[in-house]
Amino acid sequence: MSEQITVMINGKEAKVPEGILIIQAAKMAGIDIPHLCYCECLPSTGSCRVCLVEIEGAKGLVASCARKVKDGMVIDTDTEKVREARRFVLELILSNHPGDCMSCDKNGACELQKYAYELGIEKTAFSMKDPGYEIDRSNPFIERNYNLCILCGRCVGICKTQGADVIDFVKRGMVTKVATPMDKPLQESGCDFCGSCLAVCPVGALLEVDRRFRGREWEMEETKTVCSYCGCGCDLVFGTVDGQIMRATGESLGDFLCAKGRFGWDFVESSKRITKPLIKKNGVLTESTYEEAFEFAAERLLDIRKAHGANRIGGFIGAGNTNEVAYLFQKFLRAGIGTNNIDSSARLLGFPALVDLYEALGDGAVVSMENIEEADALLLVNADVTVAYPRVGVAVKRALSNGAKLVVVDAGRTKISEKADIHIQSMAGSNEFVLSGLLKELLDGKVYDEEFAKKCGKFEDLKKSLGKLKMETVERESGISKDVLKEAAKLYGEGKKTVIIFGAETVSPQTMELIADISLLTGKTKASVLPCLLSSNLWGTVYMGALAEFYPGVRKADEAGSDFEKAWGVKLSKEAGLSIKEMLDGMGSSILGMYIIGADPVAQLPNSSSVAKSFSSLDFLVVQDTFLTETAKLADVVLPGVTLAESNGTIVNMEYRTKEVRTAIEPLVQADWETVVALSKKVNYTMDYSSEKEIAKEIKSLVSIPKKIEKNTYKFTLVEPKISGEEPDKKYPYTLIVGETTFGFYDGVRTKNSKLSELEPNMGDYVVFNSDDAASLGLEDGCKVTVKSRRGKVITSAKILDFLPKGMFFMPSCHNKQGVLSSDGIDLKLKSPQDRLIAVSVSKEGVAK
Amino acid sequence: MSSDGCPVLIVLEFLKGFAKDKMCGKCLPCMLGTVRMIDVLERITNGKGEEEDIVLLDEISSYIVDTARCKLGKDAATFVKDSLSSSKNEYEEHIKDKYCAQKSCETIVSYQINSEKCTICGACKEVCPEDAIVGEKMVSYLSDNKPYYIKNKKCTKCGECLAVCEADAIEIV
Repeated sequence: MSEQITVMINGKEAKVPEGILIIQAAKMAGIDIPHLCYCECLPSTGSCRVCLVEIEGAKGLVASCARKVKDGMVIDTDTEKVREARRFVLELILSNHPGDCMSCDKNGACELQKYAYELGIEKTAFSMKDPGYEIDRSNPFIERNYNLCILCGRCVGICKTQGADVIDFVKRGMVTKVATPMDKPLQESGCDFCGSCLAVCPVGALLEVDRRFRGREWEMEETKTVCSYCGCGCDLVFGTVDGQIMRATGESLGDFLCAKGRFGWDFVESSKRITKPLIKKNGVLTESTYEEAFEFAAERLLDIRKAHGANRIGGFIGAGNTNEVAYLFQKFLRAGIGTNNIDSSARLLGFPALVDLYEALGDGAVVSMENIEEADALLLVNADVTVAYPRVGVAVKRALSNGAKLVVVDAGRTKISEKADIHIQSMAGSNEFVLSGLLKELLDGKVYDEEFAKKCGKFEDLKKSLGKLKMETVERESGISKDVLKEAAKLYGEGKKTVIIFGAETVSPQTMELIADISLLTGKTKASVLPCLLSSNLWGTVYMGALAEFYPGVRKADEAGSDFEKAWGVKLSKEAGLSIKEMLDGMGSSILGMYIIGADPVAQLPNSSSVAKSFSSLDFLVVQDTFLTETAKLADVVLPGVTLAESNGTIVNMEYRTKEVRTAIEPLVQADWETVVALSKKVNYTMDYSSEKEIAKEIKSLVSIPKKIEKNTYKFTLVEPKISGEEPDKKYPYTLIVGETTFGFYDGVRTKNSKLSELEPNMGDYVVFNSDDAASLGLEDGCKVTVKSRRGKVITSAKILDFLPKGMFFMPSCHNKQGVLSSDGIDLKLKSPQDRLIAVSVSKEGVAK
Repeated sequence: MSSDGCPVLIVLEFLKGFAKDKMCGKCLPCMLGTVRMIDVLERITNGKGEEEDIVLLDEISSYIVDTARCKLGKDAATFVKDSLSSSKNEYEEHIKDKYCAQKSCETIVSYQINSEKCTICGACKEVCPEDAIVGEKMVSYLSDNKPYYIKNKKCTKCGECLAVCEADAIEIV
């Protein structure tokens, strides 16, 4: 805390910290100085001249957003001279603002309007001027009306600090305008559509398209909840009018939301939502009633249990449901049905390896966004942060602007790798070699914390095994010279506050172990490792016991069983639960019935055609979801599900924080928890809850979320580096990397039903080739190509962009074509698939190879 | 300020040059205010100035001096202010009398034919693109001449007639 000084503001004494701006000091003293260009989240530009104040002894008027307070300063914010000057500026602005407040959505929230009113400006002294710009309505989300623009520059500033940096002032003097390079439309300019510009615009120049003429500020009801997309779990405030969502914003001005968070909620209102229970009759899913669907589903599940035993039934849950739903679901299966066969999408997205990672480091290692922003050295491993986890991307950008050093390990060039001090562009799948190399360089270069490392278990063994590791092998496998690794090790090792950030679904469990080793070796175990998660409630889903290995509270089944028998009042199965892979293998024989909530395993699991075959061989399948997914199409009973915007409860985000989810709109269908409770009643296991709150209470009495990680073993793991993913061979010589895109998301169920899909070229149905490969394969931009793997082939279109090295192609995961290609090779230890690197061959469609 | 040349026009040209070259366009009072001053000055030099315009110019320039972010903008406004006080008469002449003493504000001045010098040759009428000149060519030994004169409402002060008159009969007043 800096020193307090005393200033006089409008005749009152105020104590304020030294070094802040006059406008901030006034705010602390409860005085709002009118301002247009100034924005707390941005550096001052001092351009609007509305925040002028008088300072005793100073010559002329002073912009309060540009001058810092000094001890003893006497400030007047509301003298006649100040008001006159403000009035002059506002009248000038108003004469260039041919807006009609009558039909403007910003009416009531417009800052120009507010100050004009406060200063009593009835009519501007100057004649009106209309700039005559055409209104840009060419993109699906942001309406740009530069006739209303007052050139305050907030949008330009925020686009530079947390956006894609695509807009700026063009031209000078009287014809100044905010525009993209060459004045192209936003969608062609490289804009990420984070909408930060729109959030800070003080007038109606930038508005949400969806909101136009559907309700104004004072009619809007606001609900604070959590974004349902990636694991960042950003706070989201929905503005609703008459039970319909108008817009989503951050909690305060300048809070970052990405395109998915700010605009991608519209899937909630999609006409393709399932609104009635469906029952398959003569092979066709037909509308039915809840009562009939519950009766039917319960009867079939009970039949299977009676004839073959409870362990012939399994469950699978997505990682985007609330803790309450995940808890109820596993309770239904374990206590209601009597089986431990329950698994979740978490297994496809980095679990249970992440549980081990934090157990190795202790819960001090948990990282918040603020920790990243304050860091001085960052190591990014296979995390395209600006695209897949945009909030992390912004944190990294902020850290960089604070002078942090950045090392990126990624096969491709990304927006963030271009800002990196060192970009280790290693071969796809060679992370383990790169990190082992780094570990060795840290040790050999003596940039590690010897005192701390000695205290950790197996330090001598680590030294020995790293002694055996040849840097030549690392160089050969990764394609990276050891000098680069040495430099990177130095950059990271010498940082005082460092964070390792990695994409949990893209790296192997062994890579995670190596990351833990690096943390331990350098003694950086406090706020040091952030796994980026792709789904909103991964930690919560796992902690609620929706993973085969664990009961709620990540307790092993054998030790926790008796506790839960007591709590739930039934005998529980002693048999260990099966993972989804094991269930898949047994479908048709050892697994006959499945219950799935909020997940699309046919689309999410690798080798989708064999997955679909397995699901079709089930005796009975019930799916509860918001849309008719690939899996739901195979179901015998489909129950309508709700989205996060219609749920109450909690989630745990990637920062390991519990966040509250609240219903922003009236649920379209029965809430998920009510559906589970109703079905449970039909299988003769009564779960008695009247609201989500009661479920939360029960959870609280059994486990603490997020679970405190007490154990910190502090032991090195000694990983033998291997190439992860499928290795190319003669027949399949290329590597296909499956990943996220800016406007697509994971299995694409939500983004496909949102206007986001209009921004994703070809709705994500493409493969990116670099120009060298395209030339040698004879491909041109947009042509049809056949991509073949050992499992199958797909036809898609080619896009030529140079961000990956030769021999590697990129396919967006949101269109879900990779499922046909991907390998279901499984990491045996963790039973999770490694499906994001696929060996493929490529040929131009219509040309014989 | 140079003594030759109309002070109002000099200020106008100066502001136009400033807006085109030096102005950064970042601070609103300077950018928007200068545009307004140019508007007013153009109005005055076109003979359409109103009595309040001098006050308006004085106000705008004073406010810009008070509020602009940098010295460039303040200096430009100061230039206007100084001109207003040093050449008050000229501004008033422009506005009230629609008269430009330097005869450089083209739309304020008017063209007249000095009938004593005019030879009634008709050359001016032929070249006038606006048909602003009326009269008939003199025919020898005939009385009842219709001498030439310029209709001021139509005249755009293009100067064509000036160039063809051999008798220097067309005068700018």
